Amino acid sequence: MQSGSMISGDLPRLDQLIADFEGEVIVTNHPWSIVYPGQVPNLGFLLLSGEVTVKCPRTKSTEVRQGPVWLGVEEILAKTAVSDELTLSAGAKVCLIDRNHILNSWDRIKSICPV
Amino acid sequence: MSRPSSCRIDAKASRCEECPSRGESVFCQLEAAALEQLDRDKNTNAYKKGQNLFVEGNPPFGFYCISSGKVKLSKSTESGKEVLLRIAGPGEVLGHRSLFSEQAYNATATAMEDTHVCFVSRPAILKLIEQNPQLTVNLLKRLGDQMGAAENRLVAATDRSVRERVAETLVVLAETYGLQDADRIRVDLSLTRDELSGLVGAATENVIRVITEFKKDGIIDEHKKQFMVLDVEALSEVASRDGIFLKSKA
Repeated sequence: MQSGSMISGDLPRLDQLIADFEGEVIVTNHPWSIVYPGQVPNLGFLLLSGEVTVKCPRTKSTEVRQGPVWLGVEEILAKTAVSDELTLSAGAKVCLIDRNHILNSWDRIKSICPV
Repeated sequence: MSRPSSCRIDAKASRCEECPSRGESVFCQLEAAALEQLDRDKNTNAYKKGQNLFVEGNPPFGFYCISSGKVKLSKSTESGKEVLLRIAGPGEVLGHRSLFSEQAYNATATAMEDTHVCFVSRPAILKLIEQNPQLTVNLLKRLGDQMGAAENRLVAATDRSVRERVAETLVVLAETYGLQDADRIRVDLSLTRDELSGLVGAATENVIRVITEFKKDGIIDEHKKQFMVLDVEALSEVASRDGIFLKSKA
């Protein structure tokens, strides 16, 4: 399963999304494995800038993606586990979105910033 | 938007009311309705040995409660050495201090074995605290206990010899993780010498020397990377503590 979705919306509207959903924007100081294979993400992530490394233990492949990209949102909505390890690089700018916001308000999030 | 998943998590997620560690957690006095709310808000995951729950220096975003297993909290020194601060077991919470102080995580939390951990996001835990004052009291008690333990370690570091501190650390580990194994106590925990040194607050070479002395004196032994306490009284005497109270028996 692919663990991230590229954003296809209007990027300036991200600010609106973050404000609307009280998303907290942070910059990582250290590499951060946000989810391991077999886990349901604790939070939804919108990687605004920086990189995420996607490691697939099954195929032993590693892929590096650049923001902006959604991470973990699909799995929270479907209550399914990821099959890859996702690690944010140090210095990544990321918006954390509470899973309750995602579960309760996904239609609104999607209308602001489609995936 | 959602694609089919190959790995659906079952409800091992377990309900808080049925959690084996509920009696030991800060949530033990919550009423049924609050526990149901917590069930809805939390996310339970399994971590394998070596996987990080959170990393030192990153901003806090939630609160962790250990359902089963053990998690070590460690901090890196400027020279890159990892110092073990403490070990947390079932029912213990992690990340609360950073969450309330709104400071970056002060340590890295790493699973020491297969561990089940419940995560509650900051908005959810703050709402729960607002509605349940007893939870605040329980959290303050935990913070107080942890601060007391940190102060005791600080005093011990200046006031007691390495030999006494190693003995004290082994006594605490035996009290917390000890299992009666025939006439000895097996500490159900695999620690490297560096990790033990972090807990003791002494240089690794000094701790190794004391461990060798204890082994020679027949006070402790090691088996499969686990310490065996052979002479509880002698160890307690060195540590200047009263007898060991075992938490559980094998």
